[in-house]
Amino acid sequence: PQIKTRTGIIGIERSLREKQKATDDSISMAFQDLKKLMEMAKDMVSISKTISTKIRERQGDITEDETVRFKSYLMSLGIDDPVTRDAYKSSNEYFKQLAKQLANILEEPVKEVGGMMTLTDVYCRVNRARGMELLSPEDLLNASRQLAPLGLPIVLRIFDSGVMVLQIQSHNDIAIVDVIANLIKDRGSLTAEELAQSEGISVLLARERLLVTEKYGKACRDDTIEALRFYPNLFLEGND
Amino acid sequence: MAEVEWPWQYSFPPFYTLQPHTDTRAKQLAAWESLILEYYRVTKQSILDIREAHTSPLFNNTAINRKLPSEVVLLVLEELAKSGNASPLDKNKHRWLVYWHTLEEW
Repeated sequence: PQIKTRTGIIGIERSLREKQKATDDSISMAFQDLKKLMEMAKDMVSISKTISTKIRERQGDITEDETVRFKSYLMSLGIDDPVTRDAYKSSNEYFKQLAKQLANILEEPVKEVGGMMTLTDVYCRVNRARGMELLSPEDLLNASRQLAPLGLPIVLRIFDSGVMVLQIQSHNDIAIVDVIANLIKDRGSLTAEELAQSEGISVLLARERLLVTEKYGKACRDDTIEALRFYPNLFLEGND
Repeated sequence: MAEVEWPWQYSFPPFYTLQPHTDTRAKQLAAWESLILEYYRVTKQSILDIREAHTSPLFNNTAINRKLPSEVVLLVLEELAKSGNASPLDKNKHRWLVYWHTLEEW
């Protein structure tokens, strides 16, 4: 044991030096541990790759318990290898459970906002409600993809523009189109912003609704610098 | 110069935006074709320069502040060429001859 002299400048300097040395040690320790952890993970990656080639050799559509478990191993390591994985099982057991949970907690809120919610809104809602053990965007997307195969009351829908929404199963495009077409007729013309304001939905969804209406031939567009306005489709209604 | 009788589409703003919906676009282009032919017949013109198209009230409706974009003018003229009602005068397709009646009709 050293004798610690606390007197004078030398004493202060020595204690400072000791403190610095201690932090240096802990930092280098941490990095060494991290390196070892990475090496272990690397081994796991190579092992799981060999397992996946083994699975590939005996191909099949049957969902075996082995592949289910293998998939959950991959998930826990954070290695995503969907290209080789997708042939063996539709998706991970975890996503299925998550999808069921999503359907449970989202059915009511989605109905409240008019039967359709963008995936980003869903992401906000779910993660804010959770607080801990948050979902990653991929988890949410993969779980959402499982909604339809599981026959749950809400399903994932991808618009032509690439916008993804969750909508209730009974959602009916044609009914919406009729409502929107009537609205346009009442107002003369509509932009997405105006529709969003009057209907109390997001601008993104309002835009998609107008585009769907156009796709069904119930509206036509007037694209100018001012705005993209939608008019009743007088071309097809045969006023000439 | 005789007055042109504008069709209802002429004061309908979506008329000046190429419609993405297939059936709608077909109707729109057909309306433009007949409007161009009518306009040229009434004003007794026969040469259309796409680069100068916007000086003509035909493609530029100042009352509702809408212009038909040049690409769409070209598209309409190409449609007219298919039915024999127009033909390009130069390789760049800037200048066009518009026939009030097709050559066969004459």
